[in-house]
Amino acid sequence: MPEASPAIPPPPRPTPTLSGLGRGVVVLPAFDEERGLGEVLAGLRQACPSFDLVVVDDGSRDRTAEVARRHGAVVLRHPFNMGYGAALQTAYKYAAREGYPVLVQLDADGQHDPAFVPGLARHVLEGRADAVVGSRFLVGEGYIPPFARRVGMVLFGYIASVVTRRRVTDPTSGYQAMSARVFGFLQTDAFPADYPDADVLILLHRAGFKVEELPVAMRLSPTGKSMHSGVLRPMFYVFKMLLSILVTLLREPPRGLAR
Amino acid sequence: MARRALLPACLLLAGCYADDAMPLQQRMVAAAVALLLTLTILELVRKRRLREEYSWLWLLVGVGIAASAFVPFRYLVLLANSMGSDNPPAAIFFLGFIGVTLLCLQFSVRLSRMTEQIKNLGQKVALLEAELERSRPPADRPAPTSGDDPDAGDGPAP
Repeated sequence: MPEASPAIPPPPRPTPTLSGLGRGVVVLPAFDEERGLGEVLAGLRQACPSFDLVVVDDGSRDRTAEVARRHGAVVLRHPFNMGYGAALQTAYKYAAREGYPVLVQLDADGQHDPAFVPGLARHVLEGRADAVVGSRFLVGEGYIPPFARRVGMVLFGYIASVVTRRRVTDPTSGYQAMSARVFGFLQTDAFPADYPDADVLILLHRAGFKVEELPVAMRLSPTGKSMHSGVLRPMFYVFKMLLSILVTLLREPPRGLAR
Repeated sequence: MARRALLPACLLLAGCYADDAMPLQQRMVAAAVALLLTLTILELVRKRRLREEYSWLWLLVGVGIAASAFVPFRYLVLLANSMGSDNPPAAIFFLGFIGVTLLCLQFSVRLSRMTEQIKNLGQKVALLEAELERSRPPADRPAPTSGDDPDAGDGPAP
């Protein structure tokens, strides 16, 4: 139930523009999201009417798929739960197969405001970057994440900034837009499907893609659940991400652009 | 003939281990465990509960235990000494532990590969299912009506 969102959205909420965005796809990985999903899809419909909507139902036990279909989204249903990363990659595979020029991904729980989709997509479509990450920290203080998450963000933001030689303020943001070349690359086995996060930014950088951040506003997850709650899990997350970044750096640079 | 040779053979065998510091009972236990393990593995393979692909690994473990049951003690001491230990049982345990660790690592590698394969399969199922749904006649009735139009393959693409 979306209560009045506690965020003071620092970046002004873009008003829907009528200028055609053209073809594109918005993808939402969803696991048991029947409560917030409908509203997000309705918002997307309004924000980017020319884009197709795809919900990857990661083996939900509730009526996520039904809600998605009722709102006119294409549903890709995993036969069992495989995790956030695998769900994202399913969407990349779908988008590559359907030949979309641009893909925007956001969370299905309503913490990402759909109004920013056109801006992110346009940035990619105009060729100003291969991938765009919606950052919650570029402007103001609209969003204060839980402590453990904050530690990870600062730490991985620092590492990602050093590695990519570009300021990364929000390395864990799941609000992204990318070109066909990028999701064509991420649909391969190069994608760290068990935990895509800051390591993907580094991977993309090493593959020669230009990644940029744009400001977005964020709401606290209205359904109140987070991937990173508890005490042990955040610690495990930090450990795992450090390992993943290290391994990404140890590997040969992927040939993402050589095609 | 064979029966007459049995006694000298046993004596010879006993001679080999005459000044052995390892109790005979201990050797017999090790030999029994090795035998039991080997038989269990063969039985599992026979019943197709264990793939032959994996069985050779476990048979190797059985052979290893059997070997430790029959190697004269002085060789075990030699082995231990070469590892810088003067305690043969500890050396054997250490080697066994290393072996089991490697076995586990091998399983993790296989498990990783299978996880990757299952992930790709699951994704393919999702994509194919979506494609199938699209090629079905217009929605609103997901229950397939029994065969009044089986070839309606070109529903409107959404």
